[in-house]
Amino acid sequence: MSGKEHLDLEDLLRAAELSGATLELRTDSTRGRGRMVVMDGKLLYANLSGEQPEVGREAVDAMLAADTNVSVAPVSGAIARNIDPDDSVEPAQSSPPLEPAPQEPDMSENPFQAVVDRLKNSVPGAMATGIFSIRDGLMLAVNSSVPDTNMDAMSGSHVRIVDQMNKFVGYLPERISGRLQSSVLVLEDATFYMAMDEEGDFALMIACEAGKGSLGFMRLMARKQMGLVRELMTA
Amino acid sequence: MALQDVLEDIRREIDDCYFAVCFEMESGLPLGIATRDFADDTDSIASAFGQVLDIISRGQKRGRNDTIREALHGFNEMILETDKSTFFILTPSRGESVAVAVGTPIEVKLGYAKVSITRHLDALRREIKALG
Repeated sequence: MSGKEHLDLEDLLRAAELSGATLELRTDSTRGRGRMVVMDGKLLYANLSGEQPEVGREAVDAMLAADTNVSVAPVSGAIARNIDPDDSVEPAQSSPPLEPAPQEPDMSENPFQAVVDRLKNSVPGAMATGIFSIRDGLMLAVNSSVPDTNMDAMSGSHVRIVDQMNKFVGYLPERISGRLQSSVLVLEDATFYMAMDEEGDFALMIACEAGKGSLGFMRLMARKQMGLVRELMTA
Repeated sequence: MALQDVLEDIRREIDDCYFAVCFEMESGLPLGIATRDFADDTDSIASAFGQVLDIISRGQKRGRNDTIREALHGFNEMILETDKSTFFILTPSRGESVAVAVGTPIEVKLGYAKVSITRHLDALRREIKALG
């Protein structure tokens, strides 16, 4: 990935809200380190440590105001809610602890399937997600709500598309060509994003409804899963 | 203003832009190209875009999934990223058989390149129409 797809905290919070996601945001800024927990799209907890620690809505405001680096993680353990849905801050001590975060998908049967399921659930407006092997042209897993999805046809066409894109790169002058990393196809009704593995072994695909999943968010979510898929491929 | 001039304006507006090219979608034939450093590489650049546009035109005609085949007729834009460069292709109008593309170093912000092209869309449409 290029590293230029910087997502700010506000974008992430909005995307999480739109998608009804459950996730944890970890922040790092000149104001200190912070943690936010979003459950089912609702921001319920925020905490900022540092010289001027803050909790609840004040912590959110401080993190939004600072130039904040942010990473996304699964919710770790139970939290004490300190932000209520009406935005009024409740003391953490007075709120009952929430239930632990939903369990991660079962990785025991088809671990690739768990990855694409998670990816589809995390990207707003996602219609299909998939992982396919570039080398042997096989779809490793797919989760699609596109009518009449045929996995064999899908894997064949995706591999051909990657092949065409590699030819594109091959024709370009060497000093500007480089290694293919990702492609985005924007249609009137849908956006298709594909991220290629560094070794050229596999690719992750996300198709989502036009105007719903921001490109930056799709990239972020795909990048999060790339390392895991690489581990599964080499296991 | 000729198509070539519009392409030259786009290239100049985007920092370090390698080239701005306009081509016929079906054949990949270039209708005009503005470049400062790649004047000797226009044939290979045209061949490259011919390959990638084939993905769209072939999918529109022979895609196996009806939904996807139909969706490809609404092609708006494509972005290809490598570890060195970003290539951005878009169609100026719905149903146009002509596309415009720019190539930039990876450091150039995608949004900035898109805004630069969009600013010239009216002029592009006019010149493309004049070509018949």
